[in-house]
Amino acid sequence: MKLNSKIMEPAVLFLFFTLFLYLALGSQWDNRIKHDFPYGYGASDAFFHQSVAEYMKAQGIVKYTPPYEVGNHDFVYDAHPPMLFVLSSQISIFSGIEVYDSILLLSALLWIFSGILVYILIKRFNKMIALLSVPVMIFTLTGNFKIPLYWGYWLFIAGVFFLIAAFWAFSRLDLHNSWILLGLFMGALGISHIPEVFFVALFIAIYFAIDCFSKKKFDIPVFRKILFAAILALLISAFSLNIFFATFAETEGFRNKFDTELGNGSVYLKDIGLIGLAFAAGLIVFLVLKKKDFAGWFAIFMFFVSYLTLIGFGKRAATHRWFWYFYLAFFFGLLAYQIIKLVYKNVSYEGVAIISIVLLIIFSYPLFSQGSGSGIMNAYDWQGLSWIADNVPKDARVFYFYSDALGQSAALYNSKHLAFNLVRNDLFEAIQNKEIRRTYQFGLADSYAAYLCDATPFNYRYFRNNPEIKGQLEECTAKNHTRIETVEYSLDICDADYIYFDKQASQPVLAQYNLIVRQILLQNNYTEQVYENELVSIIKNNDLGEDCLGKNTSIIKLE
Amino acid sequence: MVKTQVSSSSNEELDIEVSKDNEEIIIKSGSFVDEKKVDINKELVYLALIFVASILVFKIVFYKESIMVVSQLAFSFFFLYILPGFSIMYYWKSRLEFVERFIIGFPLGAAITGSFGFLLGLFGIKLIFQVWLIPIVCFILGWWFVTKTRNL
Repeated sequence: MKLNSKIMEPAVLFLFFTLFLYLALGSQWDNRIKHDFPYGYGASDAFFHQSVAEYMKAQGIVKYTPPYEVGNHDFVYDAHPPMLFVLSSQISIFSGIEVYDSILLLSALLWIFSGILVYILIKRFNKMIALLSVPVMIFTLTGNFKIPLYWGYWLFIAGVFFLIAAFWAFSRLDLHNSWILLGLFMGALGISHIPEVFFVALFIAIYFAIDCFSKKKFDIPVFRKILFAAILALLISAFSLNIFFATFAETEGFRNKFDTELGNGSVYLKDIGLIGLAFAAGLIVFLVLKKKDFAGWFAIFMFFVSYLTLIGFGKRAATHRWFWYFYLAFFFGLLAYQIIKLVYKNVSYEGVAIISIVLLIIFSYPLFSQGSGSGIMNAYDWQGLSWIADNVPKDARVFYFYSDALGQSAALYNSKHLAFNLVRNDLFEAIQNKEIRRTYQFGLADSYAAYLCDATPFNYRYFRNNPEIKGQLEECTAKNHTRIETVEYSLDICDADYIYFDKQASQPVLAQYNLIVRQILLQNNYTEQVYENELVSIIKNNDLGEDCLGKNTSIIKLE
Repeated sequence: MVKTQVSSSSNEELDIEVSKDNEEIIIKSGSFVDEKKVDINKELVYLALIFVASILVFKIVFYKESIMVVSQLAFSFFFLYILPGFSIMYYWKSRLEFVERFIIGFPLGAAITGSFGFLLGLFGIKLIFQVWLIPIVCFILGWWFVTKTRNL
């Protein structure tokens, strides 16, 4: 049977797409698209971005941060680049699926397409090497490499997606008016994840300089295209960059961190194991070859970027190690191609495609046994948070006792109210001392370091108070981002408008403690249970500041 | 080396150098154009096939979901990002083959719909209108590139 070469390329790409999507999200999502609550969310950042996108979809425009995430201040500019929020809201509106599903699905698709874009980048060099590069990309779903999807590094994924697209556009500057493509991708990158703009710009500067040096002349036509692209990118991203410089650039500045900052989510060279040797061998082949393709320089450069931790880029560089299997796939393809050529002098495109398909199946087979799960959130806590969102007055403050699902503060943003989460260590201390207290340490669920707002239509200022003092509307007048914390770390639970309890926990002692506190509160005349499901109980305090524990005491010793 | 200038089919000028033994041609600037003939009808069939294949892939991956939800989702991605980007890529129809235009069409569509969606939002145009406005403008531009422009 003669295989048609035209169907081999789509066959490899569709197989890659299907396997990757299945392993990344299909099994993780219980093979459903629509869920009753955020499904497969593994860390705080995921809830953070989901809650922001949710708010923006409800507002109809992507501009301001949800007030309950910035101390209850209205009209605070969202410091994060807006691209992912726009795209996930659009998909949600158009398809009818919830934002918490659309944002994770979209991130997964951008992740997969980043690999396919690398394929296209390599394909210009050699179609067969491109096909042979595809199978190794599936290893992105192993170990810590898959973290960006489940931990919510979605803005970064979007950044890498447009970064590779920008690299492709730069590699095709020979096309008529192709600066438009480069400008659009760089502009999109500017509103997706800003560090990647710097990395692409750095590559372009180095590549252009070396090119001019080797040709011994300043290439004015190429320079003109780069300049036009930069102007277009600037026009697209100017507003967002302005916000960035008034927020993150002010609060973070240069990262100045020399470690990965990713803790147990870090990736090191040893983590790519034997495949790393294949990459190294492919690199040597590349360096030996007379014709050195753009895809190889791209791979080397991005590997170099992932080690900019050495000069203080911290996680802005280290996160790129999660994409090593994409970036370095070219070297695997190159090595595999050279080996095949050694065995078969007249290797055919169809033959290479079949090898690629076989490798893809072999590499992905063990990944089917990887575990999956619904993530941090569960249906009952989600119902509890949704009840608060829909039924509690806007300025009410809710205190949260221990919950397995809500330890990550960003999950509390889904209550759409100011949320104070009981500090775990303080709780453990109280349990050890067998005491119920009026005062515990609570942390305000907030994630933003600067509350940027409009003082006038042409002038930014900041809100100072965090959170806004109850009943007092603060003017947007502060000249710098420094905040005043208006609530103590130690808070009296008798001052809470609402108190949230989980009745079960992975460690029974934590649930028992919750139940005892809840029981004591319900014994007085000031509090009442206003919501309950199988897991959650929400208590309303009708008389703030009263002796909610009873017995005129601030500590009750348990027997 | 013999220096010369020739014209490519896109009327770009190529500066080339030919070695004395005529074995090597070095392109100093510009590029040879491998002009591709585009059969729109055939490409529409390809697009339809990819759309059906996408539904199939989504149905395999999310097999517990109804075909209606899966189709709606595939249509959303096509309408919002893939087709707008692919339409704009017709500007380079003679230089890029279908697969490359299709794949780059996705980031391009996302870049256009996302960036201009954000910017339109700043002028008060809500998301609900953007999801129709931006793709339709891209389709019109794409149609114009297909029918009116010369090969670029």
